Amino acid sequence: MITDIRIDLSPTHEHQGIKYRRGTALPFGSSVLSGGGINFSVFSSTSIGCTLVLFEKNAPEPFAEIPFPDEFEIGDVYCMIVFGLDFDNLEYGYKMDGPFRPEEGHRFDKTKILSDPYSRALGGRDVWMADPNWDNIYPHRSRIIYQDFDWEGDHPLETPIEDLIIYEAHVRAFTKDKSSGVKAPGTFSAIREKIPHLKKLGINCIELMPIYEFDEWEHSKENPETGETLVNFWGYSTINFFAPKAGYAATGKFGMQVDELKTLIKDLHRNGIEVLLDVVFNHTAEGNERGPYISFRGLDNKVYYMLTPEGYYFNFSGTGNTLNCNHPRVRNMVLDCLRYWAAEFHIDGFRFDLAAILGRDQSGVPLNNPPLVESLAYDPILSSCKLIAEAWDAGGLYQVGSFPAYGRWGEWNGKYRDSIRKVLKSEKGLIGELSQRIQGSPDLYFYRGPTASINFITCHDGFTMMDMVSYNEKHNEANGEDNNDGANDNNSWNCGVEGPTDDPAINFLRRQQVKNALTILMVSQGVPMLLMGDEMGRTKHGNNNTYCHDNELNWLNWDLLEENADLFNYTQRIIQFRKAHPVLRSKEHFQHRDYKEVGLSDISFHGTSAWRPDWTDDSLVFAYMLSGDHAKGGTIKDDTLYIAINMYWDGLEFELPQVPGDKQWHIFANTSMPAGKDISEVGAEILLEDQHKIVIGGRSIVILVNK
Amino acid sequence: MAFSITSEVNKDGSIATITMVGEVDSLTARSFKHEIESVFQESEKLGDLKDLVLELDGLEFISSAGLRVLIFSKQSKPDANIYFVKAKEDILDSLQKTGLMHSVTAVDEYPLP
Repeated sequence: MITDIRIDLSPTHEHQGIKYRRGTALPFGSSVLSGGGINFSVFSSTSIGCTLVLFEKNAPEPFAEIPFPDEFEIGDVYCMIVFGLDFDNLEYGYKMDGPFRPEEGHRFDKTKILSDPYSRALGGRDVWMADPNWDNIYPHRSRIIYQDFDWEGDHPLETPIEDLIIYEAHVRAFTKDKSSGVKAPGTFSAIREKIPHLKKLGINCIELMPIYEFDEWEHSKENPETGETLVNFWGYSTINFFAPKAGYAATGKFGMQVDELKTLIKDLHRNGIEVLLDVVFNHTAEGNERGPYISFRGLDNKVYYMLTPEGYYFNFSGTGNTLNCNHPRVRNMVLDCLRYWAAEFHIDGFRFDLAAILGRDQSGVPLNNPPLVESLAYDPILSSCKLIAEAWDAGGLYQVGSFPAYGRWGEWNGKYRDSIRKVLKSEKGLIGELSQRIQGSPDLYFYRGPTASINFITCHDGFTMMDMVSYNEKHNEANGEDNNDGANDNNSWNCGVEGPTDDPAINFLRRQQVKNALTILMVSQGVPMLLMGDEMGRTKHGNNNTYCHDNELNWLNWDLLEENADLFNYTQRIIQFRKAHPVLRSKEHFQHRDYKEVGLSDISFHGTSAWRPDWTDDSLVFAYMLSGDHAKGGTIKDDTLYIAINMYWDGLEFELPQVPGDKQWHIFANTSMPAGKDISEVGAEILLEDQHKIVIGGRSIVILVNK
Repeated sequence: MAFSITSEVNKDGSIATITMVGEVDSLTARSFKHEIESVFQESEKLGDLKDLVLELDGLEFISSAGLRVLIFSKQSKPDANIYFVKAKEDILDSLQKTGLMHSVTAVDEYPLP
């Protein structure tokens, strides 16, 4: 029948035996059409010509180069449908012709083959650290993905953010060590094998450090001490925003990284665990004017990058260039990208690396109302996604507490980390600040509520929790930068000796300090984030910036689980406690009054004397009581909790507040006690003999439950 | 390694057996797909397909394109069972990692004991 013929899907042109026709401008990228053919669409504002370059997979030379005829250009978009291609065996790129006038921002070079910024998979780094062909004329090759994954009814979990317990992990570091005992160490697939660990721990959200395609070989160099190759291990340097890292997939060598990642996400969701991605939209792997042509620089340099008036790259990211996020076209790309991950990968949310850059205008000036940040907040596809900002950048813009939130954005609360670390090392003058941090930092987020605060004490940047109590100074010599890299303001305390020691008293104190940190984290309002391995006393031997190590410095040693079973047990139970007590997970800030008329205000502060907190500069003690009748704004009933923090070096007697009714105080946790007596199971708390007072050991925390 | 594929459909069209030897890469995956389409057509003429049996003792490798043919098979015949007979561990591993294992049943022999 004549109506079966799609005239819009019939070739009109032929080049070197390949048939093609004008394509559709949208969607950008490459799309396999149901009627046959592949649509290619790419934009470039100031180029004068574009050529589609086609390779068979891994072939050294292209099998065809098809210039886009003028009539295939719609606005600034080149689009073409090519017929008869085997998309499973295809790699493609573009050559873009245009002026090379750096002083005007243009760096076109028609000899370079550029990957498609919208390609859904990239070839070239299919297997982690496999030796690349350095003479490859096109090292990072766009590939085509056919979206036909069977999700079996899966959808994002939409866990209320106040109930989230985040676990920050690195895909490769999590299971690469042989102690992990998994089949394909260091891969998406291996994380699936470790889901039972995550469930046992009790977290309900995993935040993956960057999984967008990056080049582990970027800036690789030799370790001056060992001769080992130092690499881009963390991956904060994106090559393509739409493509998952093939080297993180056991099946990456077959081009199946998309399916493997989706299978992981589906399995995590089945187990009640959300997936957040750490996304890096502040810069790309193309570096400054001396960097390589991978994609953006050769396609539309002036659009994709923030440039100085002389045409050099602004470096607000500290890595050579800055993505021009508030250029309308880049803004749309970021939006398209996040929509793709939310819709096609069922991602539950995003943490934006150096997000303050998203709020700078095209000349780098901070905006009051940054359109990208606003667009993401109000986007219909992202409406259920968590949006979390690392609210600072390397250009000195620090927006913790002031990042434009639009009622949606949360923030990595760097002030929480700094305050709690100082409290833990018994710095004076911090009790007022501590009281704010445990309330969800209303001093920073008064209008945004406690869930704007992502509370963390450790993250990938900086010391692990065990190192935080074992080192005063960073020890980054292995990074090959003369110990000049990494932060100096660690606010850490080694408990008396720098590094490992046989002194049992110091080792006991270090564990106690770790338990103190875990306790404060889990009994604070806001959203707690735990760093991978802190549940088992992971160490990086004092290195606070392990971005370049593909070795045991980063790889999680699973033998620690047995070695530090007491820490795992403590972490697991304190997480259970948080989950069992909604009074710890408020969506709204406390009102500091008894709006339920039960004889207690929602929160009250205490010191060694009940009802009399010591706010003086010399004070090292702080206690607070949360009224169970006011849990979740008084909508549900919980137990009343009393939490006492004694950061004085000796034990002190605390008078306990008396609570209306006939319930009694039971002890749930006491971090000064040895393993086995430090924490009970939820519901098995032990009745206090003396209901009026309790002695709390030096540098320790006690949690009581009134029941 | 040279690729070969053969197939047969039983009398009432309820069982189709495909035997593959060698490697299914992006090129040979087309032969695999054609063979699947052809046994589906044949079985439809004879009755209802219940079991699609893939004899894989001699199969060394299956690429993403080959795995995609499996998805196509499952989508085309959602009620049919797909059996992988004597598939190598690496191949089953790929299925496991890419979430396709739920679409097939791995067995050591067919008919089932």
